[in-house]
Amino acid sequence: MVARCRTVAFQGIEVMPVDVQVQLANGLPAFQVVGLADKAVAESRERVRGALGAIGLALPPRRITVNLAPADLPKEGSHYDLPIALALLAAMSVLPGDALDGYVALGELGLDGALGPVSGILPAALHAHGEDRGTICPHVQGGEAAWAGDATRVLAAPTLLALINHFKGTQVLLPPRARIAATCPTCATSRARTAPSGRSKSPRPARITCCSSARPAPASRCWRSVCRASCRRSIHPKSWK
Amino acid sequence: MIASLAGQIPDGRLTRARPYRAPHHSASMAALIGGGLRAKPGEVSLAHLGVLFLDELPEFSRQALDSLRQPLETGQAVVARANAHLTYPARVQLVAAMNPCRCGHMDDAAMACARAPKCAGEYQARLSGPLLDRIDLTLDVPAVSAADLSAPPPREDSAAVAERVAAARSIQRERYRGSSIRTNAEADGERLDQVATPDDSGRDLLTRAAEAMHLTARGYHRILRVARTLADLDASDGVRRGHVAEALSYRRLAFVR
Repeated sequence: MVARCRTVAFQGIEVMPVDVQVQLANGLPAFQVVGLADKAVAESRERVRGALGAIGLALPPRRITVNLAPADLPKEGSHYDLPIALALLAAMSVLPGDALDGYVALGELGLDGALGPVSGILPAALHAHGEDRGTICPHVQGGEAAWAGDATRVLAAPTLLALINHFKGTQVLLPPRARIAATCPTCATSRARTAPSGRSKSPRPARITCCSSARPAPASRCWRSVCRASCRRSIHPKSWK
Repeated sequence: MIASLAGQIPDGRLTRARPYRAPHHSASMAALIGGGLRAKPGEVSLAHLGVLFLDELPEFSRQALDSLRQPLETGQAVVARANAHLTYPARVQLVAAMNPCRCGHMDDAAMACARAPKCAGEYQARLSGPLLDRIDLTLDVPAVSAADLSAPPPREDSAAVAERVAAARSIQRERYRGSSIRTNAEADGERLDQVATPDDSGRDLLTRAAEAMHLTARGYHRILRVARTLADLDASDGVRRGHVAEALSYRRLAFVR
C-alpha cells in the first residue's frame, strides 16, 4: 500500500506541488528516500526516525521507500520532514488513510517530535489555498499561513503528537489567527521625526523620491480595520508585477 | 512573500512596513541579485517595494553594481544558473550615498589631499555611466558645520512632509486606478506620454535641454516621470515648464565638481 502526503518545492517564488509517497514493502528492513533529494532532505530520515521514537513508535521492520514525485525536480530544504513523517504514519495506519488528502504539509521535525519553523510558509499556504487545500505547518508559523485565506483550514501544530491527536479527534487544534508585526507604519507615528537641524539641505529630492516610488501612503485608519484586506491583496502573487 | 522564502518572518508575523535593506559594500553580485547554489533571493528582491540603500556606492565591486542595471529597469531579478532559472520580483527605490573622493574633503581646500581634484575623478569613475543614467535625482550635500548643528530645527518636520507625500501618492493612485501601474515610476510608453506631456514651453525646454545635456532616451523618459511627480506634489494637473526645469536640475551632468 502506498500512502501519500502533499507538500511543495520552491523555484524562486514559484511553488511546485510535490507528492510524498511512502511504501512499506517486504524485504530487508531499510529506510530510503528517492527523488532528487539534497543532503538536508536525505538527513530527514534520521529526524523522522527520532521523532517517531519520541512518541513511542518504532519504524516497522520492513523495506520503507519514500518517493518525492516528480522525481526529476531537485528538492532542497528541511520542510520535507513533516510530510515524510505524516505519510509514513498513514502507511503504518496510525493515521486514517484519507486524513491527509486535503492538506499541504511543511515543517521540520526535531528528534523530540517538535515542529520547527521553515522558510516559504506563506507562498506554500497561498498555493494550498489556490488548490482548495488546507495547510499543515509548525505552530509558530500559523500566523503567517493564516494570511493565505481560510484560517480554519490551517493546522498549526506544536508537535507531531498534537497533529496525530487532531486527526484522531482526541484533541482538536485551534485555527491560528493571522498576525502582524507591531511596527505598523500607520500606527507608528513616533517614526516621523524632525530631521536634525542644519541637515535641511536635501529635503526636496528626498520627497520626490518618496512620491514617485515605493513609500507607503499612510492610511487614514489603523490597520485593524482596513489594512488587513489590503495586506492580503498585496501579498497575493497576482498583485505584484 | 520574499521574506517568507528567505526565512525572515519572525514568529509568523507579517509586517506592513516596507522593507529597508542596507547591504554592506562588500556584498557580492549573488548577494545583491540572488543566486548561489540554493538560489536564494538577493538584497534587491528582499527590498521589493521598499528601499535599497547602498552606502559608499563606489566601494561596491563594479560587477555587483552593474548587475543592478537590469533589475532597476525591469523590476525583476532574473537568476540563471546551470541548475536553476529563477525570477524574483525586485521593484526597489535605490538610494545611494557616496563621498566625492577618497579623502572626503573635496569641498574644503584646507583639508583636501594633494591629489584633489584628479583623485575625485578616478573615484567617481568607478560608477558606470549606464548605472548613473538610471539615477533620477542626484544631490550634493555640503559638509555640516558645527554652527549648523546648534541651529534651530527646520520649520517643516518629517510628519508634515509625509503628509504632502501621501497627498501626491493618492493623486497617483487615482490616476492609475484600474491598471497594474502604482506610481509614476512604473508608467511607461504611451501611458507616460498621456499623463506627463509638458505644456508647450516645457516641451521646448526639454527638447533643448535633451540636446545640450546629451540625454539618453532613458534619461528623457525619466525626466518626464520626475516632472510628473513634481507636478503631483504641487497638485498641478499639467506638467509645466518649472517642473521640467526642476527635474532637469536633479540630473547628474559631469561628475567632478
